Amino acid sequence: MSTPFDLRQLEKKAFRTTYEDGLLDMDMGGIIASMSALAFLLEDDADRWVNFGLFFVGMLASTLLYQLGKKFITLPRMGQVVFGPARKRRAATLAGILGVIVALQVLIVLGSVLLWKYPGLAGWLGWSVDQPDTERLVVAVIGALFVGPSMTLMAYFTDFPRGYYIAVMLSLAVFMMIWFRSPVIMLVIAGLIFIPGMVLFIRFLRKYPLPPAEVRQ
Amino acid sequence: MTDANQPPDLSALNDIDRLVHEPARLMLMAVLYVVEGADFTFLMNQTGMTWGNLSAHMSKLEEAGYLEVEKSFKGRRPNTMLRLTSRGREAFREYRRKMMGALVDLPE
Repeated sequence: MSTPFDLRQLEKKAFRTTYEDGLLDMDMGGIIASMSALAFLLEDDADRWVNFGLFFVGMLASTLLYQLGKKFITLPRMGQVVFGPARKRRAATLAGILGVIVALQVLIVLGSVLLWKYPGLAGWLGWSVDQPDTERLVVAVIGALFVGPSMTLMAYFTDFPRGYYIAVMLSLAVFMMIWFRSPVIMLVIAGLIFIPGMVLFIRFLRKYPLPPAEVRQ
Repeated sequence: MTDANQPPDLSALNDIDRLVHEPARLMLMAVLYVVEGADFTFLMNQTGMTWGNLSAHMSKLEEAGYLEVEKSFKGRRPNTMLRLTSRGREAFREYRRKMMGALVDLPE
């Protein structure tokens, strides 16, 4: 029941206003756009360092813009707030779960590398895949399963409803990147996340004008 | 939950804390109750109050010992955070308990 005394809802509403600026959506869109540089990697290994460089520079730029946007645009307009211990517990739980997921991912990647290096081992285990297409499909599915559930958990624990949409798009992006090797599809998906974020950002700037200096002190 | 045959006990409303009961202050205290602390801008956005109005209510709550103001610097910028004191939290909890106790069983 939602009443004026429903403090949990009040806290949730206050917390969710921190996502109203759309910066996180734009950041995620930027990261996926940067990932499109990796889509070339599978085809041509000669430019791998250029691709990796583009990916990391894009990711860093996106994250830096997010941080600067929060500091110089969002905070002065929206104000500062410190949420209670329940939020900190949720964040710690999320960090713990993501830590386990990352550890699992590292194990899977190391296991895959081992099986690729020693095909006999894969054959002995009955996991060998003869068809290159099937191999790529398996990698695409595993890749999508790496990012999708992680982002879904982030959306749940951080009360970020648009995160579920991003999780689906992110999974799709990784799958498409590996399966179709197409940076264009990645860029389209990045745009589908970035554009709503941009719209939210413009709406945020209109809704929250910069308050007078006396208020900001 | 009270017995359905007994009339609801509204006598608790006689001694509710009127400092908390004022709608604007109630709104402020509710927001500050669910967070650890917030600055003026955040509170203005959450409550829709003007700076002058907010400032006046804050002063009353501070005088009553329900609120503490923490002034600090973030880099070269002054930063004012507002927090409910434990007394303020207790006053809000008590107010909420009394209001809910009195109103929850009223018929539609």
